[in-house]
Amino acid sequence: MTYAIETHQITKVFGDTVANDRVDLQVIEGHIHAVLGENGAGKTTLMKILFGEEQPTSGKIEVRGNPVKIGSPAEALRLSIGFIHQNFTLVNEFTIGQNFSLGIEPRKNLIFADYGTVNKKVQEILTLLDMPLRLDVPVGSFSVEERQIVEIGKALYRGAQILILDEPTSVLTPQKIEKLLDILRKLRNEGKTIIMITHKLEEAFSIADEISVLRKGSLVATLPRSSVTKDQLIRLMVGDEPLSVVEKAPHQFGEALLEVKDLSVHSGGRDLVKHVSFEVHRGEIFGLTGVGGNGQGELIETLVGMRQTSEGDIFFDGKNVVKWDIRKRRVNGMAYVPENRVVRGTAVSLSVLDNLIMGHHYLPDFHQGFVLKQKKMESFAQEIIKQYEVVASSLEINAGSLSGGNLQKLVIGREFSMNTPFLIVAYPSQGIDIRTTKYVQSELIRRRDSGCAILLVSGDLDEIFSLSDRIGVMYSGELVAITTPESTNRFELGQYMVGSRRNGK
Amino acid sequence: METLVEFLRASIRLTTPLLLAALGGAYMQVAGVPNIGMEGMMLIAALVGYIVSFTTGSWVMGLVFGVLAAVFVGLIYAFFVLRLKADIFAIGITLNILMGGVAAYIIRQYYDQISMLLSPDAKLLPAVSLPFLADNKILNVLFNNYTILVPISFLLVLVTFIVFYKTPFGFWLRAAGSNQLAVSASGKSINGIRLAAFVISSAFCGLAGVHLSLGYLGMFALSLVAGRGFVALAIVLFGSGNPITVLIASLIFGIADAASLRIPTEVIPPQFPLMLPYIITILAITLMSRFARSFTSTEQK
Amino acid sequence: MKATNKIRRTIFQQGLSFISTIALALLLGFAMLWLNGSAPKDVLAAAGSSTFASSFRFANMVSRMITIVLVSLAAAIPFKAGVWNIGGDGQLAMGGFFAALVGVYVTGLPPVMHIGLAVIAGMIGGALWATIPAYVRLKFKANEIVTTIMMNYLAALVTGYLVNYPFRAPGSANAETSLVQESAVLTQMVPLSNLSTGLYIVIVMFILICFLDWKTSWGYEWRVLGSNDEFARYGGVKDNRMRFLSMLIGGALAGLAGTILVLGSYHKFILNMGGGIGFTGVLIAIIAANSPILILIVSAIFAILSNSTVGLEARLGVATEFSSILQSVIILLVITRSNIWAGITKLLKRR
Repeated sequence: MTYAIETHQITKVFGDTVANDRVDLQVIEGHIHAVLGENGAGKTTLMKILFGEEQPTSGKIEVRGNPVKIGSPAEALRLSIGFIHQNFTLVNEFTIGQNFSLGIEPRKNLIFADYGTVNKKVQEILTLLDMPLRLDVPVGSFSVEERQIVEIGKALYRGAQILILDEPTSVLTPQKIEKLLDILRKLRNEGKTIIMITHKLEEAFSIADEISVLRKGSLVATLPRSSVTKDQLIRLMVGDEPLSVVEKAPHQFGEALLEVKDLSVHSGGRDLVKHVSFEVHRGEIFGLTGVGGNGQGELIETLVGMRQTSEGDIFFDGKNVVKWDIRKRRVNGMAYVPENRVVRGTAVSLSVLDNLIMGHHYLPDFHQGFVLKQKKMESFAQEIIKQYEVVASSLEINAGSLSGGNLQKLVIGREFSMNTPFLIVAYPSQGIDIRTTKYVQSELIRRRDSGCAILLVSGDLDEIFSLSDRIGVMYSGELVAITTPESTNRFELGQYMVGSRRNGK
Repeated sequence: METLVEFLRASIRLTTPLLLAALGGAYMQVAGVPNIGMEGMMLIAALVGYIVSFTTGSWVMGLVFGVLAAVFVGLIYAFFVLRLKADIFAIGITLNILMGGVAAYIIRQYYDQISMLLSPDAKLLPAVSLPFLADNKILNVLFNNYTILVPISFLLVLVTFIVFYKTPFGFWLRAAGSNQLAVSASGKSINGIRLAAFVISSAFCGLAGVHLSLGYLGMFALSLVAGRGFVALAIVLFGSGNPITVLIASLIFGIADAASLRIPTEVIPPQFPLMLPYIITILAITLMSRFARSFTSTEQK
Repeated sequence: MKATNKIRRTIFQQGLSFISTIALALLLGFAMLWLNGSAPKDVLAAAGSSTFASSFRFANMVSRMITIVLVSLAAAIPFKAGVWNIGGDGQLAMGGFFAALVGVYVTGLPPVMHIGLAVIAGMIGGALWATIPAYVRLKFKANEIVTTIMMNYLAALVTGYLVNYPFRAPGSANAETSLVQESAVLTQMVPLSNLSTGLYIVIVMFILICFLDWKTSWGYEWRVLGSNDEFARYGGVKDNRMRFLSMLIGGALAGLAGTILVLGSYHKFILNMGGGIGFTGVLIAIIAANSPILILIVSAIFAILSNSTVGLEARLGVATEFSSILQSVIILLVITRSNIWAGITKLLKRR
């Protein structure tokens, strides 16, 4: 039994973050190897290293027993390693053959290529994959699952023996997932080695020969599927420690300020959010969790007005706000700390002051007609900086020169100080230090105690557990559970998050 | 009937510079780098071609150097955009203005002229006469005796079509504009492909420019290009760089151009028919952007 | 914050690299001229005399400068909000024509009212000409570079028709309107020069624009739109409305430039009186990163440059078109300097 790929102590460090921590991965040749883990566990980084898109900070890689350095995707291909990206590398106007052979076309002469030969090989691959597709039409006319198969076929055409797939089922509808898994099994039976990143337990369980679990950058275990249970895997994925609790007053909530009824979002032929219903009450923190990319982002966007709903209603303070624009929602009491502070939460080339007044500048206090009350805004901004301890030498410096943590505090300060009855806070602790995190969390509790309705979105189970009065879990666009910290534990939350369990609440 | 055929002939002649420039623009468009500098490239090619022609007495030299001048500008453009990663719109507009200044400077400084250059020694591009066409009266007027760039421009439509859709190079070009990931995954260099597109595109603009001064007019004027570079840009955007659409759109503009020259000034003041191409361009751009392709708009991504 | 502090901050922040780039470009200019046979000290002397030798020359320089400032602002305001306005020439022409109409055909008004009316008409004319490109950009995402440039040619043709046929000055062989009424004339400040009391109007407008830019929600929202439009949307900025507004204001400013040329310098509308200054305005807006103060400075430099070429030609035989070459070189250098800055910002975003 040889290892197709073996890594020794692979470590990858980005700035202060350790994405991969001394990982020793062993992938048996001719097997399907699933890599499980939550968001941020380091799965994608590890695969990027194997495919040459990232370089390890330290550690070694062996392919079929030979030590190698994989400096680029081209080198990976030469080692017969193929990567199936989530964003396809296909040109939609081209046929299958044109896509497969891009850059390596066999030449008839100096000007023209021999697509006859190409298409013959394409047909062989398609037959192998049991996918009857037309060779003469642009791939843009194929469905998503068909294009994914084409993407796989492309790797095979270019000689890949080892295929790495990154969350391949995330773009597929449930019916098509089985078809993909069948194809992967077929390829395995043909002798190919397959590594599949996923957070979906069912799939990993149904297809893998071996399963590795990554957690917070470390490889926690690699086990043959036959000798492990789903529950064991969940425990490995989310850990066993009791969840930390933050001191907070017992829950007394008021009426529902936000009511989401049967909300759905369709886009690009897929259902991103499916019939989600829940409420957030005054004086309550509702913690929404789940692995990233399961619909949380799209859901928040419909709540604030940055995205259209396809179906369903959003009631805010009794009124249906689905048709309201962003400003109207903000003026009427919504504030939002976004998940990406640089892309959405700030303008890094503008000054700190400019970043602080966004959203405030059209509130009555700060303007006269359309003239801004400069002094008032400046003193207000100074107050925010002081109160939220943003380290910035002056209001005039570029926001981009602030550290990540300070930028986050700036955003939080700005949104919190709007004193709105409703707050959406998405992934507040990402990329900031412990002290700031604790500060943010205590702020959230304070507002909750003063009657604010808060929707907290986070992938950090500790944070969710300790702050929330009620917890919701999203999986595949659906709200698969609504529960409370008292009646659940880490393991159960893990079950919800990987699609292993759902309740009808 | 006679006048209709004459009219069509004039249309074809007037189509040529637009067609050449737009075809060139198509190469860069499909590669994802819209050519904003066509106006300036055409202008400088027209000037250099003209000067070299009357200086050396050879239209061949004029043609060659005109094209080289345009390619030189194209290389500068490519340097700023590909290497220094400057904004393609800004550099393109700047180059257009720069070429305007350079052209004005040259004719002022070296030839003491203010706005145009006229020399009896300039050798124009020769006409091509095919004997078998000369026999038929109608065909003769319609298809015969054009200066060489006219039939060449139509030939180039065919060539471009073949290149874009039948050769690997064409596929690389189109991949560069369609999905950069596809190109990087294929191992080819996006910048290398785009550089080739810059060179080809500017060469085409060079041909267009030379045709303007040496094709029929026999003179150079600073107002020679008259916005054709931007009309060509609109044509390219309109068809997303498809050579057939470029051909059709160029013909439409050529006909509009010819029409504007023919309407007697007593009936309609000359300004009105001249407005036609510009109005059509605005309409075309608007309609086409409704079914938008991502390169037409300047919106941030 | 006081205006002076703002000025200080702007100049300091942008100042150093900016000044050094311009200095570099000017050095290049001197080098080019030297290669061409003109010694630098002669160049300086020629340039200096053509602007500063007499009040007449200085006035002409200032007159040119205020036109440049207006068309640069006309491009800069929309550009701040992320929209290209290359239509300055056309907007200037239409604005000038509207003003000329009011100036020539409206009678019986005292000067202040007549001029006021003409100015308003001119600004409306310019804004009107910007409406179509603005609208199709907003509704259909139609590329505004192409549409504004097309509108330039259309403006030249439309005014060409109007001024050659229905509105041509009776008895005149030129493409121009009749002289405007006395009551609509902006008097010369320096006799026989191009500089008129329009200078005061421009000063007021400039202060207004600075005010708009620094102290109003409009200026703020434009700034944010141009910097990160997703952040603007997220914060509740009505992006489409603000972009449209910025184009209208840009058009109005260019229209004002045309108005002042008509009422102050020529006292009538002359076809193509703008002479392509709109494009220069675009370039200056790019160099000056849309900042009004910097636009003021760069406009002064460009005005002096343009003026100098007259002297350069008279004394040293250098063609006047040299200035536009130099201007373009300056642009290219400055554009790439701001690119280095963009690269740094990108790196920061990755953190």
